[in-house]
Amino acid sequence: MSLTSFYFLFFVLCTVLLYYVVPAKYKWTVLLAASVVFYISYSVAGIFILTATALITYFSALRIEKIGDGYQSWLAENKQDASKEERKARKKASQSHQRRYVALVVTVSIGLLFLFKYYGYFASGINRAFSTHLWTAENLLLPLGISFYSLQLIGYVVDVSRGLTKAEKNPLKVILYGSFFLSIMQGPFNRYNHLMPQLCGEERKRLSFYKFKLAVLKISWGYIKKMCIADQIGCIAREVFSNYAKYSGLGIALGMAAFAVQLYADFSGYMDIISGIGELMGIEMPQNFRQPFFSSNISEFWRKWHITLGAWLKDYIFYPILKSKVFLHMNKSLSKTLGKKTGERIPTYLGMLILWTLIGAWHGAGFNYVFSVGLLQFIYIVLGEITTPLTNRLNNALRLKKGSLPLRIIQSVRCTLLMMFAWVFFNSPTFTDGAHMLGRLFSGKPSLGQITAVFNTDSEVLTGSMKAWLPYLFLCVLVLFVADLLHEKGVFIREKIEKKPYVFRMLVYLAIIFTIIVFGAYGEKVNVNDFIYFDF
Amino acid sequence: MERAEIFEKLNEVFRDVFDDESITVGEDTTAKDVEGWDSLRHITLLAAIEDEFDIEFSMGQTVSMKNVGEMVDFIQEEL
Repeated sequence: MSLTSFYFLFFVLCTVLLYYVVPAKYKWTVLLAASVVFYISYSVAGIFILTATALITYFSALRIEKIGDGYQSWLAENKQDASKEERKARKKASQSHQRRYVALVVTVSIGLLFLFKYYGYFASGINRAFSTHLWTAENLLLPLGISFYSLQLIGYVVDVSRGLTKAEKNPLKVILYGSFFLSIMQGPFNRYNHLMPQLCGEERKRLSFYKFKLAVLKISWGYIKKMCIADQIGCIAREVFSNYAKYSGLGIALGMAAFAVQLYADFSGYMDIISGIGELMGIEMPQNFRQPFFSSNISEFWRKWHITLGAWLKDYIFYPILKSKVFLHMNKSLSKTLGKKTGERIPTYLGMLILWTLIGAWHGAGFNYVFSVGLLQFIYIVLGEITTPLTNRLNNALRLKKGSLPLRIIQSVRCTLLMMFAWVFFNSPTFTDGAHMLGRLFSGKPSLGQITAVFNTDSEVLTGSMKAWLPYLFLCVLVLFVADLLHEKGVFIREKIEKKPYVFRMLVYLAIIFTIIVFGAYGEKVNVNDFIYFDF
Repeated sequence: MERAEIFEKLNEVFRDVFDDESITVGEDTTAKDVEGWDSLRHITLLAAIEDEFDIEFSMGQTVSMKNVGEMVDFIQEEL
């Protein structure tokens, strides 16, 4: 059930209607049924794997809570009499007991994720290197959303062990948490104590006409991003990335820029669609993008791009690594020998290296992923930090004040170019292809002809109608840029539109409908792309 | 240990970790109020506090503390 299909719109309409008809106490069952139907529309077998993982998580969370409660009641009875050492020892024993159940969930979730996502890649590699005949899992289809729900469920048991959330008593609600149809395809990563009170709360929900209009505007904007920008500009990106040997210089740069816009419009468009649908039911989904291209450095870019993945990894991987005894010991001993600053930096960088390698690997099995959105990002961030004094001096010499418009423009452009460079490897089938494509970027004398060559190709990828839409496509990209600029300035565009006179609002609604119907990529004859993050 | 005494010790730790003698933290101080207190320095700061008070923050406390006031609550819990 593609999000750009009429089936999906019908499915959402039925779900929202049912959601409001059913009494508050049972609303979550509508969401569970909708999530199961949505999941089964993609994969029947996958729902069993998801359910099994969720049930193991459910039982483990209950056990973890019971162990934690046991320690707390002992503490309440013995706080006055027990020594600090005794309390520490009890706490440690309780935590280590809890960790066994966390380890069970991590092993099951990561084990299944590895089997479905990475095993084939490694088995094929071993077969090639050692001429062995290991099973390469060719027939195994990646269950829908496994990269997302595995991490969410791990986060849930860890939160229970950390005392940040209560263990759920109803197993069906844990299954709903794992399979929730608005986030199963490509996130965002929901935290249990943020999402579930909204899904299972028993307060009466009302949808005002004003809120309905705001939600529909958000959904429509998401569809414009996906169907009129991402899928259209994606044709240019696909043409250049698939046939990079035919192009050079600015032609390659055009493809790189087109992919950057496609990826952003595709992923953030999806988020707008599901977040708007959530608003229709009074459910607030976490924000996953905050105008990432207006960032002063790559660290900031990643705090604004796929925000919930970064936040998840920080809380469940990065902090535990840095807070581990090995890293704390390393920090202390290096601080003594190399000085405080350097001593602190080395373990932090080592932790970051592990984190970025995992982020890269999470995106897919292949060195191109590990490099482009992993190691290269680590290098960008570390180099950015090391060269900060130098760039500050340079900015002072050029009289570029911190926070001034010229400096912010330079920083935004620099960030965008660095990401475009990284995404060449991300969007290439292999690392070698990415490297060859970048080689083509620096070949030939820059000329307008290198750009027009992309549009004058006889390739089927760039169809005749696509060329005719080009001016409108650029207009849509411009609107996307202006919308982000306004969001960055703190303007609430939807609210502003709704405050305008009736005629203005009608013109906006008509423009949205006209844009999607006329310029959107849809229908049987159009090669509509799945969302890019769908495969992760 | 009294709350005021904890704050006094905390100020020393903050000044040492962030190399800034002018820092004075209060109940409502958050990471935004102290230059350099980002997610990377957060762990270094907590490690220094753990050493100073001879306690150990749990991961739940590490990720959930919203301001210095909550940090002091956790320190009192652990002492």
